[in-house]
Amino acid sequence: MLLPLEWLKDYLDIDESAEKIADLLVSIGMEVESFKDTPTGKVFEIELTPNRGDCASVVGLARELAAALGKPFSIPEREIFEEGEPLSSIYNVSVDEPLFAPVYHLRLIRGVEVGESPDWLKERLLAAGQRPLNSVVDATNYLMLELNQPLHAFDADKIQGKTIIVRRGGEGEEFLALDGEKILLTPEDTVISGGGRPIALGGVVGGENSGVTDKTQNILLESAYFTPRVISATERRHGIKTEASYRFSRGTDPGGALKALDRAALMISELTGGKIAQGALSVDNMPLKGAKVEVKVPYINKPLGTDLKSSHIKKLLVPLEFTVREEDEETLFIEIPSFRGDVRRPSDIAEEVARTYGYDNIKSTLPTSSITTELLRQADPFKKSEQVLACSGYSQAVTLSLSSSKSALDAGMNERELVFVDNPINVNMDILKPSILFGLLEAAVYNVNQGRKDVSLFERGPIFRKGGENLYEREALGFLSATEDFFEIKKTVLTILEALRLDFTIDYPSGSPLFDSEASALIKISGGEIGAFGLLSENLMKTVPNAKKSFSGGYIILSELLKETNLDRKYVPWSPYPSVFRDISIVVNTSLTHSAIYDNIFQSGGRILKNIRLFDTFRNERIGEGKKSMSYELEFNSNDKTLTSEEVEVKMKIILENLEDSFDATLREL
Amino acid sequence: MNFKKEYEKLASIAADEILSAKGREKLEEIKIKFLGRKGQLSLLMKNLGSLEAEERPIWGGKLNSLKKKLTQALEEKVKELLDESKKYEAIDYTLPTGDISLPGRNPVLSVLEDVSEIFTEMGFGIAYGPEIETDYTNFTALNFMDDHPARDMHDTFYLRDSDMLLRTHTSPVQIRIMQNYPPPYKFIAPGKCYRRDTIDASHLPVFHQVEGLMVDKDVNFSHLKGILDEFARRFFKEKIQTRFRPSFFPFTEPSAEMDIACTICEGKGCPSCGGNGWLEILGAGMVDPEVFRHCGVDSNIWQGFAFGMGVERMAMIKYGIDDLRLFFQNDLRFLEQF
Ligand SMILES: [Zn+2]
Repeated sequence: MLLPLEWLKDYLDIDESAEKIADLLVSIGMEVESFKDTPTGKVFEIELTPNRGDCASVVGLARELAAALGKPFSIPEREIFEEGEPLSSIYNVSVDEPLFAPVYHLRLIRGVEVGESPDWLKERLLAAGQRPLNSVVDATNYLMLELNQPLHAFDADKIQGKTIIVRRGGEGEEFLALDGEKILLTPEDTVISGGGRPIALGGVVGGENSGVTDKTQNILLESAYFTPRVISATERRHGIKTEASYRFSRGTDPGGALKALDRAALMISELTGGKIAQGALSVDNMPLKGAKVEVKVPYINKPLGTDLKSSHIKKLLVPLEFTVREEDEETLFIEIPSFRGDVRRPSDIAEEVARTYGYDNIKSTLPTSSITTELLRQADPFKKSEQVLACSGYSQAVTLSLSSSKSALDAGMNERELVFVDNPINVNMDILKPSILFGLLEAAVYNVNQGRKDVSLFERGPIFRKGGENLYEREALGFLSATEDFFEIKKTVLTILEALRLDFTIDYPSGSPLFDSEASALIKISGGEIGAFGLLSENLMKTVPNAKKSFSGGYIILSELLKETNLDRKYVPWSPYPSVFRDISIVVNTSLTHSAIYDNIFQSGGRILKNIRLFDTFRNERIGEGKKSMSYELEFNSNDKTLTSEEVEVKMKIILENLEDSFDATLREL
Repeated sequence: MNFKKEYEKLASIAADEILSAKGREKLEEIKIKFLGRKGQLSLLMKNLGSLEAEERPIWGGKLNSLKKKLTQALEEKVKELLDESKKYEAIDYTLPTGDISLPGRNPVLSVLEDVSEIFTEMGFGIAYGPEIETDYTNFTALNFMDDHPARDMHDTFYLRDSDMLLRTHTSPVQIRIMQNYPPPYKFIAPGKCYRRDTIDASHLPVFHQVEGLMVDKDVNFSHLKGILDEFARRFFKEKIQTRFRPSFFPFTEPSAEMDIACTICEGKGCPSCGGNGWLEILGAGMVDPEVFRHCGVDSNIWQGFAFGMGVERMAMIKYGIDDLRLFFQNDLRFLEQF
């Protein structure tokens, strides 16, 4: 909100500099975004917190400022001048829904001549950011800015009938707003109706059928307290926000509505030559307009860490128009002014005390309490996986968790598994990332297109899937490389799995649409899939425009590992006896995989076989068509003794026999 | 061949040839001639079979010790030649090594880690929670009333065919912990949050927050200031100037915002701080009794404070970054600076 310094001076004496005033406003919770020099003086731009609707007005801020400066504050009062037939004998008001409009006042001003406002008024409005329109609208806007009370002026002659009804809207009832927009009402909207049809969406916007124009002669002026919650809901439902609804939704002053009406009527009468009819029509269903709170002095001091006496607290609150009675040394009885709807509870009082006492005056001390929260102090079990990737030259990325459903579908993911955002910013961000590789791939392609060759990125973050009615949110680790081939990415994956001390198996190929149909694999733990790796599939690469190069990569669902990782490991002593090494070279069919041979040797080797390492593989004419040679180094060891060559030879014999039986393998002469 | 004669010949000439070799190339030739795979020594090894069975171990041993002797002589000669060469040509120690490349880090995560570390050093635990949340945990339990304008401060993403939403702050973690564990509490909750903001230099729909909660029988506003002042000293610098000013959050009362003296102009006023010399870094306050009520914590016994900060903002201040989009673009030229 814009606050002209000169306007403030109507209510209190100010001789302090604008800088000083700005600092003071900030210290009491009125954030000054900036202050500017204008032809009519300094203007502060203030960012109000949503709880302080009362300060969306010059008077509200003047009151706060006067209290902070310790200066007297007053609103100049003027006598209203009424003449002619009493309003009550012409119009009547019925509030059918007092929950929506607990306080409702009307006045009639007859014989107005709508024209241009005087310069002083136009200047003030402009300084406060309001464009002058005509004398009637300007007067209502002026009062709104002064007292935070929005007023609505109806052209009385356009209203059919003489009864104004405040009621709920009809379901689907049509209402044409001032700006020509058609709104379909609901029973949760507040409607002002005259002659059976809506003439205003109460607290939000007036109707086209009853607006004031240059030709208007008689004005019905409305000042009410509309229920904030109802106005907020109406704003949301119809997507309308007006100066009036902004104020009503934050809470206006139910006790000040009539005073504002009188001031506005007087101003309109002066500006237009109109005559104010005798009396106002008032319906007041709100006997208690400000809360009454009993509060114990320790209740205020304890959470603040202060030691304020009851008299001191009283001195802080009275300038804000709180009525404070000291029941005894410990107890205060406080009546809260009607414009402070935000203060209702003892804790609200404590806040007011802290704010006016000054946060700067509360000491900064370290707590003496020694809380231990063992429960929450857990080490990150997956930190090592990030370290492995960093050591392999991968940079750490963070991408948005929002992604495109089109890309996911093009990459071959199942639509039923995608978690859609109901109100996305745009189509490229209409789902939550179903795979950690989305986003990361875009970042990798971006870097390659910037001319980088050595692009390797990893990201640890959440992924989201839908399964039936359930939403699953899991933590994943993804990595992509422009330089690693299949075996290099495989090595990276295995290193991560080893670093996390997992018992895993690898299945080839992955069968995942995100990866190549051949050069890929699945990672499994206890039979369950926990990740995959390999060369990325063409379909996945095609989801990123301008991807000129293909990538290798992989992912691991970390959440699935939580049960599996074991951080509470114990030291295991190694064997004090030397290992015995034996080489074995066999010739087998080319279709036989290393992993089948490995498993076979592993089975035959028994407890003393510690390691199986493939060190050579080749094909040539000598070993024949459709055959290949595979050479392994086997390490034998025992924790109990030095192995004899006889013991090892026995094992080697079994190993060879089983290879011959299972695979038709033949021993290659070295 | 005459094994013994060949052996004597090799034993007598090989050592001399090695010792008199001129230059490293020549030495390499000699090495291949005597000790290579097809050299004279291996030739003799293969011919051990031509000897009488009882003689074989003796001559095998002789061959082995000759091999040892020659190998040693070779090594000594290599060293001698190297020392000699050093006399004439100095080594250029400024020659480059292979390429050095340090992997990059995203500064948001390193700042997140720094912040977490400072609080864990001060005895705070770390708690995590889901990013998909309920309206109750994200708003209602935090005292955001239905249709209250405070909800407008959080433009929320909702999920399709579901009553779930994406958390707009990490405060729901407070609620989950308080509902599941008895007081006292002292922990931080770091993580990703979502708000429906269109992307530009100062807005992103996804960002990171660190929230904290400390609740005990006597934790008060003065301690809130103490802990956060200490944090600012450890994160920025020992002599950082801070200021607390009243603010509003539905879940705290009283509420405060903490500013630090602008790190660029030292409080004099510059474009970075909007001319007023202060940079806002976090929001905080005493936990509202209404929040305790929702979590079944008795506010007559327990009291404490909560705080929350935007990690991207902290990173921007710390590293002088002026565009939020850089954090999510993952340009290696950016990441490699951290
Ligand atoms: Zn500055």
